[in-house]
Amino acid sequence: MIRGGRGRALIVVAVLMAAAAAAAQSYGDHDQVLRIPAADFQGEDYVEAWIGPDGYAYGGDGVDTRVATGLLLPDGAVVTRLCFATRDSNVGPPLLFYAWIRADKLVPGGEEPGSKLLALVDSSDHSGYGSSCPDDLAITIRDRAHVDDDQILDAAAYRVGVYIADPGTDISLAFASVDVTWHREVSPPPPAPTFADVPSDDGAWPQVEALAASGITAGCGGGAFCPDATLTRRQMAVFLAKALGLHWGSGSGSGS
Amino acid sequence: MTTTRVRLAAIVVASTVSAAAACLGQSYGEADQTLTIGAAAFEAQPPVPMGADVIGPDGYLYGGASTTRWWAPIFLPDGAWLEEMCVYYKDDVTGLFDLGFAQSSLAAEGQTPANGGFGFVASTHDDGYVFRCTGINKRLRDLVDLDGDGTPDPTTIRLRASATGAIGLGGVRIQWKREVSPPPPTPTFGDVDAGDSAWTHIEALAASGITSGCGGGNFCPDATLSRRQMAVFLAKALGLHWSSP
Repeated sequence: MIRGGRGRALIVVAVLMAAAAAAAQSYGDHDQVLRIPAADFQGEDYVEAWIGPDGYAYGGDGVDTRVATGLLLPDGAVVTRLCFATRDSNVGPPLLFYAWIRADKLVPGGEEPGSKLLALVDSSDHSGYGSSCPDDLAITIRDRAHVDDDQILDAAAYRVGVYIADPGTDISLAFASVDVTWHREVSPPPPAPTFADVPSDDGAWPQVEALAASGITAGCGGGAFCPDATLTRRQMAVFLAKALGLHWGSGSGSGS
Repeated sequence: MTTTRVRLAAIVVASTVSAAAACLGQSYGEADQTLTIGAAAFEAQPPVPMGADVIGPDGYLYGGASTTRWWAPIFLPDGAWLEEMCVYYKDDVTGLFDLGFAQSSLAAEGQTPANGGFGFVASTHDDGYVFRCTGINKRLRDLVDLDGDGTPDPTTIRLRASATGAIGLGGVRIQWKREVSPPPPTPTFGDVDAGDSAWTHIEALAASGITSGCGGGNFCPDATLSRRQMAVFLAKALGLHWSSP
């Protein structure tokens, strides 16, 4: 295990493990993968995790290593898989080495805090480089979620982390990244249709309701959406520009 | 597996996380959006000694030093309208706490960076878990004239918290909205003048490169759209689609 004289250099490297993780920005409702590299995780103490020549983050010698970062997914995203790229030189009994996702409750006045474990992926425990990728998850990321058991929705923040038990002097445990597979969803429609001419059995009901809920359309007047009317290019422009929040160029506008 | 789960609970309790990334609000449309930034997104600045900052058993971030300063980056699109911010924290009758937005300009050669801030929420010396909300009503821009020299400079924005005593930081929720940019001084298309109800939106599409009109300097706003055209507009607007191999 690399320690001792290189300790100071390793600390410097570990302090740099602080960059913001990339945000998930692909579109559409098929699978997306948010890859969070080891360098985007932060340790509990800036010392115990360090990036090796292979780009993997190694656990410390003599202490347990705990790193985590915020999980950056849009409201309504569904996480289906948590992949954990690992290096394990251990050929003896398995050591504790895993990735996790948690929801943390933000506490309003008078309530107790809470945190909920949503996913736990053990390393594959084979020697060498590898990965563990269970794909049976179904975690819906919600801005407000049931973090505790009181049936009241809480404001929620999400974290993804890795735990590496003290590997001892002859063992290396390291990870390169955590991949979170997710997909976008169109929000569930409301109990009663918003527009009289788009009833709940309309083939586009959820999509039309999602646009209405997002403020992108208010219909065509009179409580109707006019689903079969053709669209002018003008109307199309309004839909698109409102939906995407276009377009603030960096070179224009005042400072406030 | 059972052993693992038990161990995990203990680990999270003891963890002194200061994990990096803030959450990007990614919903679309003009309706209110919520950006939630948990305690794990904050990091101490300057870096604190081992064990000085602790995520407590309650999941809140506590400072070990006499005064702790935490920062969290936030990522919102240019032009985002900030409406309200709520701060979740554990107050202390004697401790001090405040949290707000901090802006810093990136200085060009020969200039000096400037700093500014707004939207601060301060502790009220309650005892226990509280949250405070404050109206912000401010538009975020990539370029801001922080130093008052009349020239907007590239500007970063972060959340900054400062705490003394047994103050715990739970997280921050920001309410914001997308906006469509103001139109240019002169209309881009001959057939969409400043009096057109969709002028702003059409100019925004043109500025974004999603449309260059229908030819001849016109946009043809009253022409209907084929499903083919719709597909091109949507795919260009969303930058679709690079599938992973």
